[in-house]
This record gives sequence, C-alpha cells and structure tokens, in this order.
Amino acid sequence: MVKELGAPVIVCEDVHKWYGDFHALRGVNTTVREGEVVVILGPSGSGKSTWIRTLNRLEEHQRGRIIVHGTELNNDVRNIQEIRREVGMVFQQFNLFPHLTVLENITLAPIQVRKWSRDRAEEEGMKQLTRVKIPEQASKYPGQLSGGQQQRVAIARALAMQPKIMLFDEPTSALDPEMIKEVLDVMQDLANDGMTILAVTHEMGFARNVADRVIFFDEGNIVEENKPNTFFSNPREERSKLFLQQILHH
Amino acid sequence: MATTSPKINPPAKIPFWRDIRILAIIAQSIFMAAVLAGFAWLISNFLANAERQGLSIGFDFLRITAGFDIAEGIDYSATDTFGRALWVGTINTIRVSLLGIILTTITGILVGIARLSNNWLLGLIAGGYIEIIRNVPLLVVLYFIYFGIVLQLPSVDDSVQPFGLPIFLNQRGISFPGLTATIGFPIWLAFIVLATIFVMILWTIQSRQEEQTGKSINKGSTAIVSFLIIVAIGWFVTGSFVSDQGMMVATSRNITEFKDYQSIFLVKIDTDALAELGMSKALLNQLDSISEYKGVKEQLYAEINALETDGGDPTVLQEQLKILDSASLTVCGEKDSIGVINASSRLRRLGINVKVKDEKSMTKASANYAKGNCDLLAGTQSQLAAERSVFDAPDAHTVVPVSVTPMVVNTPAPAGFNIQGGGRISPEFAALLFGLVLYTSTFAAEIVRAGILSVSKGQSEAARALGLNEGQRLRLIVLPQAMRVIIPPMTSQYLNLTKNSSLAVAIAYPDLVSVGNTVLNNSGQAVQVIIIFMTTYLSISLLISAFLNWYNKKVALVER
Repeated sequence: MVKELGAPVIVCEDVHKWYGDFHALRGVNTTVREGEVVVILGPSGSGKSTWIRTLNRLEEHQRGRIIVHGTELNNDVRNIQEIRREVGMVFQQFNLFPHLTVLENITLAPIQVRKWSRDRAEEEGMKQLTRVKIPEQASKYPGQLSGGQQQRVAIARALAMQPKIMLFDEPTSALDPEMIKEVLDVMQDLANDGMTILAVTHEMGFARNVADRVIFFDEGNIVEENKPNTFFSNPREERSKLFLQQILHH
Repeated sequence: MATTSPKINPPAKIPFWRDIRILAIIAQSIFMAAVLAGFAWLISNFLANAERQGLSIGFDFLRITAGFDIAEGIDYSATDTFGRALWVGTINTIRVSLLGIILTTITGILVGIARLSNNWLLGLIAGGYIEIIRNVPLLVVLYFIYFGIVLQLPSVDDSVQPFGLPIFLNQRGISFPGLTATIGFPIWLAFIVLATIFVMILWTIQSRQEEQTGKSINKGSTAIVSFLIIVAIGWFVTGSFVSDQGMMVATSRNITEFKDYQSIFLVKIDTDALAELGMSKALLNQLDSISEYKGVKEQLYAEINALETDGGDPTVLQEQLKILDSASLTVCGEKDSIGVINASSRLRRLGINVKVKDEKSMTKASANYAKGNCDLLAGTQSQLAAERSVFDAPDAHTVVPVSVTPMVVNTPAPAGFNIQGGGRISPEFAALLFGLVLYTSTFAAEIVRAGILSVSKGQSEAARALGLNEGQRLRLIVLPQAMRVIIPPMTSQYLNLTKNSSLAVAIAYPDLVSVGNTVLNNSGQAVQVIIIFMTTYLSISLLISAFLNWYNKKVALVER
C-alpha cells in the first residue's frame, strides 16, 4: 500500500532548545507531510518528547524555525493560538479535567475557543465519543473511568477541535497492558482516516504496522529517518542498531 | 480419624472488669460525671456571687433603657434598650465582617495569582505586600490605618475629591453617591424581569434558527440591546406615570418644576455685599442665569490663581467667592426621605446650591416650612396635602406633583461644615474594614497560591494545547480545581476575620464587643454579656462554616 502524501504541514529548520545549560534539542531538521503517520523512537532523555512539545509551544524553542500549517511558531500570541487550534495533543497522563464530565471535557474548547454553540459542540462531542467507542460514558466524571477509557476520552477531546494534526506523547505508557490495545486501535483508525499523526511511543507493533516513517532520536537530534520496515530490519546507523538490540532483546 | 483443627477452650465468661465494652462505658460515665460536676460548681458559684452582689441572673436587663449613644448603625437612640444596643452592635459586626470577607476573597485571589505571575515586578510587589503585612500584628495595622491615614485626611472644608467625582474624603469619613429606591422601583423591577424573560425566549428562538440555517447570529448583542431597550422604556414609563412625590411651595412663586427654582436661587445671591466688595456692575448684571453664575465663579477662581502665582493678595476675591457659594435654597422634609433626596439631588444637578433642613417627622418639617425657613417642603403628595390643610392660609401654598425615577441618585455635596446627602462610610468603619481586609488578604493570598500550585502542571498543559488562552485556563481549569484545596483553610481565615473584627474596640467602631463593653459597664451583667458575645460569635461562625461546607461538598470531585 502506497499512501499519497500531501503538502508539508510541519517544517522544522535547525531547532534548538536549552534547559539552562543542558542542550536538549540540537538542530532538528525535518518535514512532515499531510496525512503522514510518523513514529518517534529513542532512548529516554533523547529529546523526543521535548521536540514534539515544541510543535505546539508547550516548550519554547530558542533557535531555528518551526512552521506549522503555513504559520510560523514565534512569539506572536495570535500565531500560537492559531497553531494550537489546529494541532491536537494527547498526553501520557491523559490530563483530563477532573472537575468536568466527559462530555464537558470534550465540549469545553470548541465552545470557548471555536465559539460554537453548546448544541453544536455537544453533537460534535458525541460524534467523537462514538468514534472512540465510549458514547455511553458521556455524563461520567474522568475519575469514574478506567485508564484506557480516560485516554480515549482525551483523544476525543483533542479531536473535537477538528485538528489537522494530532500529537501523541507516549499515549500508552501509563496504561495497563490490556488497555493498550484499545487506545492503539483508536490511533490506527485515525491513521486510516487520513489524519496527520506524530506519535512518541514504545509500541513497536504500532510503528511497524501503521507508521509511514520512523524518526529515531538520540542526544537531542534525529539520528535516522527511515521507512519502518527498513528501520527495524536493516537500520542504517550504528546507534539505531544498538537501540533496537536493546529493546528487542527479550 | 484425626482432627486437624486446633483445640479451642469452650467460651469462657469474661469478668466485667476485663470486658472491653463495659470498660468503655465506665470510662465515659466517669468523664461525663466530671464534666457535669465542673459545670455545676461554676454555675452555683456564679449564682452565689450574683446573689451576694444583688445582681439579677436572667436576661431581663436587656429590656432596660440603655441611655448611651451609638455612633453608627441601624436606627437607634439612647432611649432604646440594652437589647437593642447589643443588636445594633451585632449588625455592625456582621456588616464589617461580611464586607470584609467579600473584599478579602477578591484581594486574596488577585494577590495570590499576582505572586505566581511570570511578571517579575508584579510577583515581587505581591510577595512584598504579603511578607510585610502578615508579619505585623493586626492591632498595629489598625492603629496605623486609623491614626496614621484616616485621621490624617483633611478637614471637611478641604475634602479630597478624587478626579472631581462626587466622592468626598475627609476626617469624617467618605461620602459617595448612593442609590435610593422610590415607589416606582418595584414596577421597574417587573420590567427588568420581563426583559430577562424576553431575552431568554429570544435567545432560544435564535439558537433554533442558527441550527436550522447553520448561519451564526450575533445573539449576544441582540440580547443586550433588547434588554437595555425594555429596561429603559420601563425607567421612563415608571418615572412619568408612577409617583407619589410632591413639593410644597408658596403659590406666589409660580413654581411648577425644579427648573423654575433657578431664578429664585439667583435672587438669593447677596449682590449688595458683592458690590461692597468691589465686584463690578457689569459682572453683577451678568448673574442672571445658572450658567453665568458658574462662569463668574470660574472667572473668580482663575483670577485668584493668577493673583496667587503673582504673589498678590486674593483675600477680597476669596470673600466674593464665599458670598457666591453661600447663596442656597433650603429644602425641608423628613430625614432620609425620598422626597428630600430627590429634591436636593435634582436641584444640585441644576447647579443650585442646596441646604437640607431635615427633621425626624413631617410635622416638624412642616412647622419649619410654615415659619418661612424653607424654600420648599418635599414629601409625598398625601403628606403635603394633609400638612397644607392645617395651615392658616392653605391657598398661599401649592402642592406640585414631582415625578421620580424608579431610583434616585443621592449625590453628596458640601453644605456648610458638613457633606450632605449620599452614602457615608465613617472613618472607624473604613479603617476597620481596610485593616481587616489588608491583614487577612495576605493569608488568603498564600492559601490561593498554595491552591493553584496544587493543580498539576498537566492540567495547564492540556488547557494550553486545546488553545484556551491564559484567562480561560485560569478561570475554567485551574481555579475550579484549586478551590477544593483553598476552601477549608479559607474558611478558617473568614472565621478569623469575623472574630478579629472585635478589635474594633481599639478604634471605637461600635461593633458587638465595643457596644457590649458599654452595656456590661452600665448594667454590671458581666456573665450574661459574655454569654451573649460567645453565642453571637459562635452562631456567626457556625453559619459561615455551614455555608462553606455545603459549597465544598458541592465542588467535591466525583471519584469512582
């Protein structure tokens, strides 16, 4: 299956980031195209999470350029808000709002940011809840749901804003093993629907089966970008080989 | 067949001194008996002492005439009872505590957020404020504010008027414009309710239209505009059709409206005295309308200023100004009645100086009027008609109906040695309120800060990632969650503020303790007064914590 990829939607040029003296990102260069599914791999502390979080300004980059959907991510508040509206994000710890019901969690941003009417937002919210297969949980509070259900609500919450790009920051790392599949299934459905996805994950199965491209990070920069099959069977770089040996050891 | 279960002795009877259940009951009984004995001793002691000193032990003293004045509060005079006096004090305590709690909450939240802000200077200022104020004893704060700030304000003559607004700051307190509801107010309120219902219906209809057509309608501004139109119509309708107010004037003066008073006012200017002081004929002739009157006054101000900068002597001009200012109309009527407020405020707005001579009763005011001391007598039409009928020559006076708006703005204005009209805050109240808020809000701010910090960073990140702006993030995500952490310690601060308000005694604000002390000294009923103190504070505290517990339960997180 060869997927037709669209225009570039994320362009990173020489992106640097420091935490004090620590050089976390060291000149990241890459382009993500519309409809592409990119899985980001790498050892912990390699900067993969930091990089994905710079794409919607949860972390500020200090040098280089990031252009998302034709809008440059700079210090202009309007640009930042515009990009955040178009980029959905799912976190490792779900970060649902515990004081709001599932449906309120989902409709909050459409009502407040997109200025939709409550009716329209709730209709869209229920549509997204159905998409992640838990419409019956709409009136519950996050605390009453299992981890997997919470993460699916978090995905629905991001989708309700009708984003053009979805960022996943280790979406399954805080889940019990039997719940990982339900979240990965939802992600796979999204990929099949043509969503542009960037996911930091340790799920090699997902990377192998769903991704169009694997980006391997180490020491704050991209070491290797490759098709998943090639990356797993015949990595180009020594560092990638070492990493794969370690994680595929068992 | 061997049994595997261990051998257990048949159930033995436990002696009662080793039975844990009976031991608990015995311990409880002994403790209870000790407490009762303690109370019995205290009460018998009190009864014996009271009898020896000839004091009554009941609360009958509350019905005795108090015989002392209270500076501020609800209606009270020295001929009222001790009970009434204590009630006045209680209301004053509740008033300062309630306002204090509201202002403390607002200030606390603002300062707490400011201290966490990324703005370095703002954070520094908030931090400095908290550290300085909360490390000073409250009594010192109160003394500083009362003696150091409030009592250092200028005298009435030199009242500070911030930005030229009708707000007057002086040693006697703060005077500000107030609103007084009149007879038309309930009808206007009905219009407001009507407008609200109308807007809600309109909103629903438009939402439905939006859904059907898919086009967004500007519902917000439609709602606001239609609401304002209906309320405005209500205002004018009630203003012109519903009024029970009138003014009694001498028939010979031909007055039908407040405007007609301008000429009468102008006549009151002492032109002879002005001419004597050397005011030119031309200038005097100019004084034939209110705007000219104002113009002449401004001209005088300018000349005085010019003279002062040149080092000249402006005394004569100042005298002239004083004479101009001293011209005034006198409004008579019942104290704090709508008639007086309406008449004086309306005349003041026309630029006429007004002196108010108010009396406790209409009869007294009417007597004043009959003596010729007043330019007009304000009151309800029926009151005025009744008073007019007992005059010697009723035909010499006319009752002119006056239209009143549903609410009358009660504007303060300087009159002689005082500021008349408007709402007034006494220096003691202002100092106590300001001191309590200043002091308690530092603790409140720290509680708010702790509450905000207790909300995980992930919540803010999720809010930002969804595109919420900083205000929305704080208002919709962080504060509602911080509330759970904030409310329990905040409750204690509210209770502290309420109880600390008893320090009012130090700056002579007549709160419960301050009044109670006087009652105690005058009646000698120490124990009863202290019991009243304790039960009152206990009731207020229980009410506050009951309310906050209810609120806390309401916002509690739902877990599985």
